[in-house]
Amino acid sequence: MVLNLKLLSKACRSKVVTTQYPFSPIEVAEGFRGKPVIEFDKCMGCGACAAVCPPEAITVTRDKEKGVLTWRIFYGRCIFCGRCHEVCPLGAIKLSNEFELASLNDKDLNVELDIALAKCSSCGEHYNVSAIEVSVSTELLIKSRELSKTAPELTRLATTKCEKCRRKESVTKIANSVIPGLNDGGGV
Amino acid sequence: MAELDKQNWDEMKDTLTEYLEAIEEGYADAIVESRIIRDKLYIHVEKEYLDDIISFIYWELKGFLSSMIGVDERPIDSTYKLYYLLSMEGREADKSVKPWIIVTTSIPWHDTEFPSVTPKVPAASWYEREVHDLLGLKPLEHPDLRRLVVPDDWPEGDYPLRKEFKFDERPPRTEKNYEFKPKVESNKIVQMAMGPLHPMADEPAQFRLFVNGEEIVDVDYRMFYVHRGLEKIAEERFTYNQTSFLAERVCGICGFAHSISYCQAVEDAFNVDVPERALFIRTILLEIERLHSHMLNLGIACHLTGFDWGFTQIFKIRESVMKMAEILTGGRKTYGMAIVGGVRRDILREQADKVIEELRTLRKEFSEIWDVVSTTKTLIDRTEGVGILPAKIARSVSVVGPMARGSGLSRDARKDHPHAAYKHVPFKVQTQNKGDALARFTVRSGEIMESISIVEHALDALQSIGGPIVTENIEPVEYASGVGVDEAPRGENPHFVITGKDSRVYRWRVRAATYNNWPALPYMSRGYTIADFPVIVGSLDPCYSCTERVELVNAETGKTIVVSYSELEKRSIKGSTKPLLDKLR
Repeated sequence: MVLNLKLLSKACRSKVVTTQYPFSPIEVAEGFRGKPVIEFDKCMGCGACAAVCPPEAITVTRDKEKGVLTWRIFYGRCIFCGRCHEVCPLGAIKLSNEFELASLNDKDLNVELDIALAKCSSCGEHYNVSAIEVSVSTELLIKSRELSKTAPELTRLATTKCEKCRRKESVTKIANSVIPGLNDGGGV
Repeated sequence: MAELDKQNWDEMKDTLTEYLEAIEEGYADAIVESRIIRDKLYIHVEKEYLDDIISFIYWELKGFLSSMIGVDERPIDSTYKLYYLLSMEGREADKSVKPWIIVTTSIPWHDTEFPSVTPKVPAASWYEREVHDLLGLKPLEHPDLRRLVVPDDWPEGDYPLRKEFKFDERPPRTEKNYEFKPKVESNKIVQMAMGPLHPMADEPAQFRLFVNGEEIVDVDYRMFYVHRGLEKIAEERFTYNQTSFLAERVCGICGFAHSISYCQAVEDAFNVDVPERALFIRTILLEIERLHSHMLNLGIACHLTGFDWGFTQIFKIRESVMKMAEILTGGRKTYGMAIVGGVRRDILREQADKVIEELRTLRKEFSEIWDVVSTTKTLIDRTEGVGILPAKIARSVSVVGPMARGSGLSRDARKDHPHAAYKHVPFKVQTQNKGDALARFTVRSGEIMESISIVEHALDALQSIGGPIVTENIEPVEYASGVGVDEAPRGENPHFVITGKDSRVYRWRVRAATYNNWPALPYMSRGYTIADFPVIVGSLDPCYSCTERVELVNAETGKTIVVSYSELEKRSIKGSTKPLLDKLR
């Protein structure tokens, strides 16, 4: 067999290319797409992340009886696309540099967050939106209405009512405007 | 750039009108309707003339069959529709951009038979078997109507792509119903099963080799064990924006090419312009994907021929390609970047600089290593003259990618149907004429060098292109169709989309490059030995299915032996032709 000299010379110049990982850390590039991590204090439970998540790794369920909204991420389904990161209005969820997610127990891959649902200021029942989201959006509304000078109290009153009560109110309002005095008891 | 595109469409219109006139000359009665949209000519024909018209376009007008799409359009007009997508490449050799002809036909819901195109155009075989399986349409006189996509124990009469079938439906399974058969019958032939599964393989496939002694007489295959019904899931569960992430999951290696094809198809349907900067970023990432895929294939080629030094060296430098992907996209694979209307991440100056530096070392390292590999007899002896695919057969089954280019067909979607920014970057299409395994490996190595230049050039050009990276506020159009194609590492990936209501897709058809290449396998294998077979399959660069074990059956006595994967690998490496069959006696 003819000895290939090129092969020999190249082979002699080869160096060690392996690293000591996992005994020494491995550096990842800036902007690495790792495990999405949520900041519990920032999340208001709006569910925007759950709506865009392509593999449905993030889900939001609401229990009106208990008055709890449960936000849940299952890393076993996550594809690290970062859509949640993009859409979060408060920057509560971000992709981290963490990638060592292997586990023997799939429960380790679950993160849950319970957020209180808002209570209707009129009928007293829980409705489908979290309490923090209501207060955050109310404050935003108040800010944006500074120009039109609606009283903040009125805005607060309007936003803290459940869908049912609001619908009832608008129907009453319309009915009153058509036949004044039809339903004097209710209304704004 | 927009101006440039417009000129092309005008020129394209003349070309397409010529094509239409040529078809009208012979088949005026058959054409119901025709229209030209940008670079596409849609012709709606009577189904009785389907086979004649397709074979006329394929052979006389020199088209290639790129895809065929069956759609259940009963909710719209009570018919099934077939879309034959033909890429018109042959006659337009001098023109840079090549058009599409889409031949459609309606099949009434109560009469699901249609004349098969396969006897005249062999390339249509798989497509017609697929609509037979998934939509229950019957191609008359198709030479081989065994199951292709649905499992062996799938009940008759359940057609998953019909609209009444729900994506999570699990019909009760029946008796297994599949038979391997050789084209030639002889009692000397021994059947040898390869596959179906290996835990390391990303795509299981079962091969049945019909061997006479050591010589392969014929090959039959059974695939689609991992058919996941992605198209159905997209139709029922996803919005058009989410589907691009599903499209990435079509393949573990060329996923980005699929998501770009999908996005291009939707952009074509909605008629959305993509910002120039996004086009360049798409080009860069497509080429990085090609680099990593070709290096994987060349590494495996070395491994299959027992030249493990080459394997480890190529995989060592492949690591720097993964690093580039990580710098540019945040993941070691180029995932999560495509979105309808553009891309999701920009490339910053410092990232570009890092990548250019990596590319410089990569070019030097790769040319050194390939210089050694391509002059070492270990690889050459095992691949030269093995698995020859003659250009004539390559043409008749419409093979794509390095398979076609290794057989002397200059087919490259980057040149033929310029997408992303390929119009603005210089590169040469690599071709070889011999058609053997070595030719295909040589094509790939040449493309690696071209890809490095393309990425360098595009990163450079990116510095002077400003503007957004995505077109926002896209207005979805209902029931529009679009074609998107790109050149994945293994060949062109045409995606076809019909948009539906509520930002959903009505039909999404994925055609991976290997789909067009597999049917060429029997032609490439006949006359070679069992030990050559892994090399031949490797040179096809499928999503390679390793063989867990080999089972030999003596057709006369029915005696069976099992050969381990490692033994087959050993034989492949040594090129051993010592008959395995001694053990059967």
